[in-house]
Amino acid sequence: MELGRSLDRRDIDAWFVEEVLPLEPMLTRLLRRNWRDVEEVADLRQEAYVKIYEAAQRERPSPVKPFLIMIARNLMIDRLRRNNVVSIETMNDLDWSNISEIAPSPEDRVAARQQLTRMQAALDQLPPRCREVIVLRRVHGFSQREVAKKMGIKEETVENQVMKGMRVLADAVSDRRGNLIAGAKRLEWRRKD
Amino acid sequence: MDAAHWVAREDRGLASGEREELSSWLENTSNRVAYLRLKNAWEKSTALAALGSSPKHRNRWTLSWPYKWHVFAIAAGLLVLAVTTVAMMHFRRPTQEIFYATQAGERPTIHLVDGTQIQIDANSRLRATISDGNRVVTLEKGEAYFEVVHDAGRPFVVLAGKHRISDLGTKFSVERDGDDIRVVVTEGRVRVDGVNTLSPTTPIFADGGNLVVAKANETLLTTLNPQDLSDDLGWRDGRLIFNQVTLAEAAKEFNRYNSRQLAVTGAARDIRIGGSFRADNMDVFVALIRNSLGLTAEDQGDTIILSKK
Repeated sequence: MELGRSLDRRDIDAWFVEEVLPLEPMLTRLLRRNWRDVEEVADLRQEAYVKIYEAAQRERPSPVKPFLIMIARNLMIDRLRRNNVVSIETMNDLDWSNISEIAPSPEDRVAARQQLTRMQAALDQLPPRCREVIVLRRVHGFSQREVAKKMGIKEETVENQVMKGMRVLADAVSDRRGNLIAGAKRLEWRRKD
Repeated sequence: MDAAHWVAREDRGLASGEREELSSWLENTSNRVAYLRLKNAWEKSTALAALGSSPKHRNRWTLSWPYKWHVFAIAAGLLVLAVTTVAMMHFRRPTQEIFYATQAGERPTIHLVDGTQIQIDANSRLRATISDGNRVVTLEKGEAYFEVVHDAGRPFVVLAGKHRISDLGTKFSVERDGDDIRVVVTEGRVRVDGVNTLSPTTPIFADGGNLVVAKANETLLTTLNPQDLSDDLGWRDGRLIFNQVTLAEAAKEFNRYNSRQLAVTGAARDIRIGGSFRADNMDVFVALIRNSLGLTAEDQGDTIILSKK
């Protein structure tokens, strides 16, 4: 029983990694465009992941993309409602079919290559020491211990830099440069009071 | 403990006690998805080698031979200098003369020979003359966003009404409404001068994040917060973003993008609204306004009239 459950989970893990994570740039874009507080986007995304993962434990959603969009949309509505900003009819009235993300975009198709390019750009922009750690560990394949020795720093420092670097690399996947313009928008509706 | 800690620890090699700790930590779905996300990125990052990092970074870790790198950098620098000098002696800079007028709903990006990009908003008109010694764009009407490739020997100037905006290496937009202009600087620095006036005016220097509003006789320089800045440039990806503007002002914006016009009458004109809308989908906007503000919308074919009941 216990074994069955964990196998099941591993199955969903694989599904999550293969089907959901590649949609991260789309999801992030969607959230950024519709949510004013950029600071909250990562949080909303994480919440959307939890929701879709939990849903998949009951039944695998297929196709994944519209389902994820629906989850994101509902999350935003819930939050807005909690913040008393929006009336529900208003959100429902918005023409979500306009959001180009619903159809698989060419961007989704070239996603893997593009994500790698973004990661590369992010790697190149890391602080020198962090970049050195990541390059030695990932590109040259030295172990954390060997990296520490090579660079003459403590193993804990290597571990910390690994942590830092991986966060940046993970975020880079969905991060386009020049987000000043594209990001930071949300649907907001305040009634005149 | 967060997900990055665990992936980093795993990468270093887990002790036996940690292994159990991790698997119970992963029982929580929130932990689990965060972990899967980071782990996936971390695993993908081995592919970074295959893509071929730039030489600068590939050599980054061979810090034991710093001189090798210096010598290479100097040699490369000299080579670039030599090539540029030769190029400058032999080639005249390319020149160009263009005229552009956009209709409702159009938002083309044009590329000038000097590498500068101009995105032109709907219902706008501009003329650009790129010559060997200078670059002049005359904004006759509407709005445009400029990403200028700076060239100290060839200044880039935008003429709009009674003002001149000179680029000092930057990205900025200029909107013209008669003689009133609005300059939003997203990056770098511009200089705004009054022209065609009898007495010379003091130039204004605006940096990234600044907004300059110039009327015939007065010029205002303010700083925009990033949100307003991006709202102001929302037209570039086809959205109109309003932050507590009157319905009359919002209608005016919509009318720039659509051949069908929106008119607001009476007390409805002063109702303030906010939100983000597709510029080319007036129907959604109208439906929203009607339902949420209880206005009537009268569709007369080429015009929709919004008014209070």
